[in-house]
Amino acid sequence: MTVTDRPETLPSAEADTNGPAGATSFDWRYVWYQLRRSPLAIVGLVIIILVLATMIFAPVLAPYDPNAINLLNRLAAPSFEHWFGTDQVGRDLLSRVIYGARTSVTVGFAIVGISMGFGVVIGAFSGLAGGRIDTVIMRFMDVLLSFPSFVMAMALAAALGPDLINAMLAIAVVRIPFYVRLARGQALSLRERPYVKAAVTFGSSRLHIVRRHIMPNSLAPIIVQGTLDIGVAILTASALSFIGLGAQQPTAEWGAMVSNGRDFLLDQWWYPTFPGLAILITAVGFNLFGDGLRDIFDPRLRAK
Amino acid sequence: MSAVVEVRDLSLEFPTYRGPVHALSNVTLSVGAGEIVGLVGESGCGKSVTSMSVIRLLPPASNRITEGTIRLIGRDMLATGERELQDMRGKLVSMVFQEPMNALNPTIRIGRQITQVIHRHERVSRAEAEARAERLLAEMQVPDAKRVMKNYPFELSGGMRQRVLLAMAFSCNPKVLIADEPTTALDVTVQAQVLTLLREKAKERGTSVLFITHDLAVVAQLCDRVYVMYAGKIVEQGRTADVLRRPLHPYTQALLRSLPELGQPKQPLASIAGTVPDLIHPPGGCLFRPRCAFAHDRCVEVPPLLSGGGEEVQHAAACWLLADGHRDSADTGRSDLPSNEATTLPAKPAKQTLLTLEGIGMRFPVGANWRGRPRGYVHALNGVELEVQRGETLGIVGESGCGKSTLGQIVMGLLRPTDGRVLFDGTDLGNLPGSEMRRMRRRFQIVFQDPQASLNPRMTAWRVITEPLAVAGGRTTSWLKGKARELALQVGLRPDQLERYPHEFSGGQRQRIAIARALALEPELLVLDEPTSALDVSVQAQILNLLLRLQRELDLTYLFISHNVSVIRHVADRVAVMYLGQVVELGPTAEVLNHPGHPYTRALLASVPSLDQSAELAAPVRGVELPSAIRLPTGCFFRERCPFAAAGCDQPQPLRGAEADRHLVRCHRTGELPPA
Repeated sequence: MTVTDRPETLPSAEADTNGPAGATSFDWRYVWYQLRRSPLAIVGLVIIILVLATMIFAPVLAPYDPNAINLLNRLAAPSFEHWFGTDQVGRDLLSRVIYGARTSVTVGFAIVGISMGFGVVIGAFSGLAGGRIDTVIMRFMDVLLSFPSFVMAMALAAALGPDLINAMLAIAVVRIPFYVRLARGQALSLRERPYVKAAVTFGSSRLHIVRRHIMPNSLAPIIVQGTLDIGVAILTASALSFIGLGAQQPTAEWGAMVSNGRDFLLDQWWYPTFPGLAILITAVGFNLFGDGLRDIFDPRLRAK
Repeated sequence: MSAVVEVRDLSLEFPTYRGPVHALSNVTLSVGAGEIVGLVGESGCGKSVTSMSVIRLLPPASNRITEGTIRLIGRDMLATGERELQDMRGKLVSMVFQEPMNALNPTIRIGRQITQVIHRHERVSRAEAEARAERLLAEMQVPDAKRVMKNYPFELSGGMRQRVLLAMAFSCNPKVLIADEPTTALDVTVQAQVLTLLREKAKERGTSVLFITHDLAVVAQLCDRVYVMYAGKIVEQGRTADVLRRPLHPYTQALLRSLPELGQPKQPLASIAGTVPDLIHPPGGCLFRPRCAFAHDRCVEVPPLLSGGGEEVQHAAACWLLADGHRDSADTGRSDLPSNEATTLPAKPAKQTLLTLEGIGMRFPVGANWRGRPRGYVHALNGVELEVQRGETLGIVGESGCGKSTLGQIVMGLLRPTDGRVLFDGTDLGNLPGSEMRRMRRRFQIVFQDPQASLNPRMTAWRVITEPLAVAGGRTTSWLKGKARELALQVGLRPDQLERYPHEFSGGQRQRIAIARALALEPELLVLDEPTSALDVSVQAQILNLLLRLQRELDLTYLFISHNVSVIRHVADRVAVMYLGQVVELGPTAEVLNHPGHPYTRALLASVPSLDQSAELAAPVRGVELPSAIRLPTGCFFRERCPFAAAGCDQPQPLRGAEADRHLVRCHRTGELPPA
């Protein structure tokens, strides 16, 4: 009897090797596998990619200068020259919708980025610190949450002055408490994990624990929330622009365009319709994708 | 004997994104009328999948049965419709699961949950069903069945819930009972009671039982016949006595050898090299081949079940060694204990106390009244006095809720005791300033039970291992990586795998990572909080060997916390038995475990199932429930459950012993008790 060579993967007799490659944390193949099973998330992803591509390649895609005025060709109906028609000063609406993506979507990302950044840091520290600090922070957040968020954003934007940046900041502030709550909840559960306790036993500082243990492990649900929020942020920014507190002329911004076009809705339907559709489709795209991501990160929520 | 359960050639796979997992391949087994059959194997071997597919409990979309038949009481289960299956489940075949809390609906009273099962299958009046439920509970030795009927599951202890589940399972007199690790979540004293109950009731009613477990000792105590599974295949089958006494398959042999029960204390255990194969890409031929010490040319073919010969009927194993010409070599396997690590224990240096616990008490507040003050306290620890000598292993053994883990956390400074002092090397940890404490912390480290939860899933292995050093600061990445390689070699990990994330390692490897991390600061004391309880026995053997080797090489002191008496017996020099937040017995391991002085220690030891079938399971504990730690009993804490309770037990008992400092017992009747 000859004893066959053992596979070379076996080292010393004591060590066991080649653990199962599970999909417990981040595995892109797993994400893709789940994504493929949810067609709506794919639709969302495609929309997001198209919107991002539109933003990046706006100068290439736009047939005209979005701010070029052509008073001879005002309020023209959609045609081969102007697919989406023109507005009251003859600017090409297609070009303005394309350039508008740059403003509106950037604003959406910026709002979410700001509120997420502040919210996560505040929430993680609040949860980890506990006690009185936690109570004070959370009650303040409750106060912020108790105002209707749009009214609050309106008030802030009005106080700061009608300007796109101010509108953005106002909306971001209003959305901070959502992230604080989310991150605090994560911190509360994570701080009981043995690896956080182990980190305490070798004398880690609170900063180290937040940075190394709490943050990376609480990101999944926060990213999901953020993705869902981008749609909301775009809508809110557009709404502020619509009531005149956001983007000012001549900036191409979807909300402002709908606002201006509203006067022409009955006779020149295309003017408010196309920017409105752009808002709708983008918001839906981010929401669909966010829902899909949530299902991937939290299989318990998956529909049967 | 006609078979009630008959599984033939069953192969089943789970489709995943990485390809199908071949969870079962050609599983054939049968359970005769009135027979108790064990299905034993390590985690992931397919034993639960087998049992679930017998009653078609797996969600149909999640798996594919590629071949085979399942017959239950003469019915083809693969051709039976869902409605019919529902009629069968609970009536003809019922199931008991591992986690009794999850198997009961938390919002429905116990009585209703049992009568629901009865009403589902039989036309009986409500009063009749209730009377039957109460009778069943009483039969399952539930004290005060009438009251329990009105309880919600959360009001009952784990053992009580498992009795309720048994009552439910037996409520319609099923022909077959499938029990999936029903006692794994229970403490040994409760496990002993539940196992005895299960066997009695099944024999009484002639119910066939398919009993799934990872514990060979439980099989020895309970089962008539046993099937051993490995990687989705039955590798050995036969009468329990034959399989445990004369195992034929190298896997069964190795599994038995890796049990600490059978090893010499402090000596390395035989362990199985490598891990269970990836069932997405299984190795061809015999699935055990990559880990088998006797693998040879023929093993690339799938081995059939071959009889072991002799008069042992039905005893067979799927191994080519049993084919003619190889039988001799199979026998040589039994004397294969490793000799390379044979140890001579170094002469113990003079006693030097490293850790002292002085009158440690710990209370946790419960609830809050309207002024925000706690309504009561859980008394987790009640005056624990212990000394740990440098270089020794002090084992702490006790059942859940006895306070052993709380004690570990207090030693680590993760919890501040409400009473008493912790002295490390003569320094009181209680009133050290932060910076001093941080420096002190380096000298004692902890290894937790669940290696999955104790490693940050988003840090690579080398970052995990060197985290304690990185926290101290001032080290470059390349220095840290070098250090991680050193530590990895020390704990038997491959240094080239250090860029991986924890989930890419097996359970045993993860525990090695956790140990390496604990060693990074070169501590003197390691608190080991159930370090092998989440691991399979073959892996447990590897980790125990590693810990014993590290202790010798690095001159470490261990505080080894475990519920497993066999593990404590294997590793500890001295042992402290804890009960309800007190040390009830303390002394040299062999002395305490061979000549237990305290009635509780005796009960604990008698409840541990033994591989020796002739040893009867006994549970000499009066009353079934552990007293509440919120309202502590007066006098001796064990008084109400103690079979030897007498006058004088209502006074607090001190820890004392005849020989000062050696074997201490917290019982005033030690001398009067009958010999254990």
